[in-house]
Amino acid sequence: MVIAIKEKGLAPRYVVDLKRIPSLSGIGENPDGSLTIGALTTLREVEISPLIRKKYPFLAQSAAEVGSIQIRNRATIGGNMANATPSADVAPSLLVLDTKAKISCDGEERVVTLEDFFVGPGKTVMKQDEILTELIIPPTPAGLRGEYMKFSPREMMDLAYVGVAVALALETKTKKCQHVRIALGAVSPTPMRARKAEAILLNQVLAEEIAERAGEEASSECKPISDVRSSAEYRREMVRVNTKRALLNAGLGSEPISWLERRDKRY
Amino acid sequence: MAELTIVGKPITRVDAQEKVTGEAVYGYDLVLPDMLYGKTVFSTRPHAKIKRIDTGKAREYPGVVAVITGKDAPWTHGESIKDKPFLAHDKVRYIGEPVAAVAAEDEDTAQAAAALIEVEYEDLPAYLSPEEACKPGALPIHEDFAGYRKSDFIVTAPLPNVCEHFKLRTGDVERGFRESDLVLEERYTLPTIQHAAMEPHSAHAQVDPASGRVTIWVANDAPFRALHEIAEALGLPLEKIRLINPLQGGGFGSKGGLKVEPIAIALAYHTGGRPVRVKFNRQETFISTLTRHEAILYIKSGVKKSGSLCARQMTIYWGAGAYAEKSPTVCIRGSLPAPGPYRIPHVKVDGYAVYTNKPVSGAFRGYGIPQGAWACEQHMDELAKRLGMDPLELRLKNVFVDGDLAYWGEKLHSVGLKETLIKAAEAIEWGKDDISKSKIRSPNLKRGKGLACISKPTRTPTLSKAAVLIDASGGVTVLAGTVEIGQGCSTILSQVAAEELKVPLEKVRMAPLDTDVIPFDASTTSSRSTYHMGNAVRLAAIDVREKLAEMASPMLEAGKDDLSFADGKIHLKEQPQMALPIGEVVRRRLGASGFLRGDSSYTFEIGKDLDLETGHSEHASAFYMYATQAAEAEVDEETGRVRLLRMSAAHDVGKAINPLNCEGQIEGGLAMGIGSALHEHLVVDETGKVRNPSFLDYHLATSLDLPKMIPIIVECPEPEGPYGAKGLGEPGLAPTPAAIGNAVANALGIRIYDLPLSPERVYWAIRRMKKKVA
Amino acid sequence: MKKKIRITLNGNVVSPEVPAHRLLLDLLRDEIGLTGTKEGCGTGDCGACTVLLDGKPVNSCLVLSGELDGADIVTIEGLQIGRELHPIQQAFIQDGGAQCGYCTPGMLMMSKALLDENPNPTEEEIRFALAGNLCRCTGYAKIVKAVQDAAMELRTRHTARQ
Repeated sequence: MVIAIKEKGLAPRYVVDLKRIPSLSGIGENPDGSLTIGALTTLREVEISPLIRKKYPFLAQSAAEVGSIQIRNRATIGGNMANATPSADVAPSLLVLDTKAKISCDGEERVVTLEDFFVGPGKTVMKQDEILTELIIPPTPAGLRGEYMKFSPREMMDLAYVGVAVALALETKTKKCQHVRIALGAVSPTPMRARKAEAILLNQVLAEEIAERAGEEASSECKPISDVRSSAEYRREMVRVNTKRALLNAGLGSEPISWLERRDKRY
Repeated sequence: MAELTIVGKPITRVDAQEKVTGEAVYGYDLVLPDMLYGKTVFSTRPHAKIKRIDTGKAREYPGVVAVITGKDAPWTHGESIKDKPFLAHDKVRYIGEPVAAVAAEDEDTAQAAAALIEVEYEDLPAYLSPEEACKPGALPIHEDFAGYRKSDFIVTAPLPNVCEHFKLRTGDVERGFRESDLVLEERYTLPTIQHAAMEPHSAHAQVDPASGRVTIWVANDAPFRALHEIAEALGLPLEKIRLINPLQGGGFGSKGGLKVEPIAIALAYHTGGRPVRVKFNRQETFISTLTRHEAILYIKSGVKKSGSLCARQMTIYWGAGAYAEKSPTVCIRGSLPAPGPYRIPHVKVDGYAVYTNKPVSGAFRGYGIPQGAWACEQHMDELAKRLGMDPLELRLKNVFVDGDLAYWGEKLHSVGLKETLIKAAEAIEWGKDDISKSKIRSPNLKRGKGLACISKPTRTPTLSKAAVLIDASGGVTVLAGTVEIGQGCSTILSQVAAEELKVPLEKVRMAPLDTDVIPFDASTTSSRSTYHMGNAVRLAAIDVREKLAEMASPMLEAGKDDLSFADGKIHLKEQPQMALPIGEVVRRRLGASGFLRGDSSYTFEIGKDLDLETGHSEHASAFYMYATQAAEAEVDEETGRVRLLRMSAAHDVGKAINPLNCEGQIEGGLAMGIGSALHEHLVVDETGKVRNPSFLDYHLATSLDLPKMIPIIVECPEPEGPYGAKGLGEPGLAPTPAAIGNAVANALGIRIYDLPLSPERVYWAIRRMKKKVA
Repeated sequence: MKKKIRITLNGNVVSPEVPAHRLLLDLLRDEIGLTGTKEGCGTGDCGACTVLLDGKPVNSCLVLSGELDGADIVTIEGLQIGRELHPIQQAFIQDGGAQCGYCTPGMLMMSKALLDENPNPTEEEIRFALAGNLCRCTGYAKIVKAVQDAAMELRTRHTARQ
């Protein structure tokens, strides 16, 4: 918001500080295996949470990709979602986890899918008097593994030129994709699920050739624009490459050895 | 030479403590009593007549003390060409040009009032490419160019918008090409980049209503040069202007010339004697201060099968931006060495500095050498490839050595170039590719090595004066006009004074920089300070030392020549225990508040000036700084991303007065070079607007973006330099992009001609090549 | 709209009255007069303005005074331990970690935050932590070394105390 005031001419008469509401912060696991993340949980807390690192390491990874530690100490996951930037790093990871958003107003609550929460660049489904209170990650299939690949020129501090998150559950013996989610950031008006790409993989054995086809499909179903950072065509190419990479890396189940290797092929 | 006690030692900086405690006060921190706050209004059109400026609402805003436009500031300034108004007069020439300013009681008020100023423009055709702007038929951006005051070395051309034409003519290039076995012609380009010093720009000014004296507080890298430029612009004698330098938070050339100062001065004339501070925020700093010249370079070479260079022809277009600033001298000093540090019998260079409707280009670390090297050093690798030669071998065959007559007519000495080539190459295991390539983790990654070498001249001739004082407590004060911009000059010059007077370093202090008190210095630019001011301080210290010895002679009952200095004392050579602290000598003769002063003046005599027809000069530079950098790069063919694995940088410094400092300069220069090679591009779109004036989208290398850096100090002593020293500040980033470009070409087999080597650019180059092969 | 806030600043309790929209960076530099914390960009992209807020490193250019009531703030002026320089300050001096020095306060505060959390960081962990602090002068090499040396000194002191 401060940046919007400085750069985009936002001139609020009043600002209400929500940060002092304790119940809106924190990460908890519920008995049914779902995860609740309070909207005021900082991105740094998401990044270092032992719970998230254990259950969904790629979600912690995508939080770590945002700005710097200083930024992450202040940026909240709810604020990040409410900002609805198409390139938000955490959004694709939350989308592949079928995350839901709980919205409150005057004691009344409603829950929408995160996918429906985003309406356009900078626009959410929330009304003037509503606030985002919680993100809910429903129980996920056993053995779910995922990956978040951010593509940008520098190692840190950039907005994503392309963001790709994948989440897979593979049948143990056959390696068939029983469950597959692919989400893209920075290549459409809102972070999006690449359903056509998912359809290619469902019930198929994960292998290089099919991952490549899924990448191509994702590349054609996204709607990137050209801007000062990148041309639309290059974004499409990077969706293709990074979707394939994310799928195969996730399928391998291995973790990158170092921060500098997190964008590399590990297969 | 006697054993050196402090010169040559890696001692810690004298200004380190105040910087790590936050006590250091920079220009951006400075607060003056009764100060007003200034805010600037900038042009939103690239080339337009100003039809109307409405300042009424701003004037009425409570808390506003002054509102001014070009009408209230009818002055222009300029260094080699006097072409730049303090505030736009009848037209604007780039988006970002200052057109009006407000002074108010506080920052918020100034900002609110500035937003109420309305400007109406009438557009004129805008020129954004230096090549386009000088085509016959292009409209002049400066209609009155013919009438501007110009330095006498300016050469004009019968082409529109050319503010300087540099010519180098040696031998007969056509004959050279005929005699060659291979002729190659190429085109290279570099975009605009920005210095991005961490401290944004600011200036404070005050005009004393009684005396008319103008005082300016500004972190400017050439206070005396600024003083002259301001005096000329205002039509005042020099004594009416005073410049005080607070500490500077980096500059790299952007804090030279006048940018914010004119606005502060213009406002100060309308505030009844109250000082005014004008700050530029980061966005304004990106757009409205200075940038580095974009350039288009055409290079054609002829070479023999053996690898000997026969002929080289270059045509270079330097994008000056809307005002000349330092473009003429960048054009001259960048075009002359552009053919590279090589023996070439036939050379022809034409360099054109061309006005464009873009932000103003100015001095930027490297001063034209980076642009020349980007073209020349990659071109050399292309020649090597076609000749089937190792690029290192081709260079070793052709580079300057001691005694060579350079193609601009100068006999060279102290040429440490070959040593830098060999050491830089060795440091990245040149020629031993198998070990590295066996470590590649997957088939889409390609590794390559590349190197580039340069020679960097320094501004010559220039003058540095200094004074060294010894007081009654044995304290030494150095009066030197060199500006501490982070490069470490206060430490180096303290070391020189301490060495000559044989006092502990803690006893030496640098006097604050105030043009009323400090003797003249040409500038803190061009890597000239260690050499010129180092010599000046050395000579001033010797002068005061001689005077002190004369004073001490009767006190120690010995002849002057029987006395020697050590540990802050003067003593009999034969009987060291017969000693007096130097402060005591001063106290006895001059009293407790007395001080002894030594003065000096140093310049390098060049004899004849540069020949404007041939570009030849017997002494184009007091000394040359030679360097080679070598890179090992890994390219991801699937994305185009270039990762540097390691880079070596071997720099011939003559003598490292402070090796720790030298390393810091090499590493910092390398980081800047890597940024300019891989990430940096100040994007000016087709409407003349800067699209990325922020650190979010103008990408500086972060701590994670840099590879292992191997700084190598080479010492090929410069006989005229203090203790053999040359300079180091400028060359650090000059060979870097070419070295990386060569490594990428070696990895991929693809030459990329434009910067930066962003992932997208490299990716499309790979795709194009794959298409050709298919 | 002015607001009275009560903050602990470098160990001292102060109660300034400030417009709620005043950024912490400007509160420190302009209203209180502590100019050690620097403005590099004003948009959270360079880290020059880093201070510790309730023990955590943040960009003070993005914090509004209105939310600071009860906060504990440490700036570069509060980094020293009594009259002695903090080991990280000492290391920056020894190793040449500061050239122009403008990024240095932010760099030091971030380094302290890193070492408070991770007393034995690897080189990559140091670079990761400092990635939000831009430096245009040093190329980071001597900064990284200084942090490594300070870490070692702090671990030595910690062991000596035990």
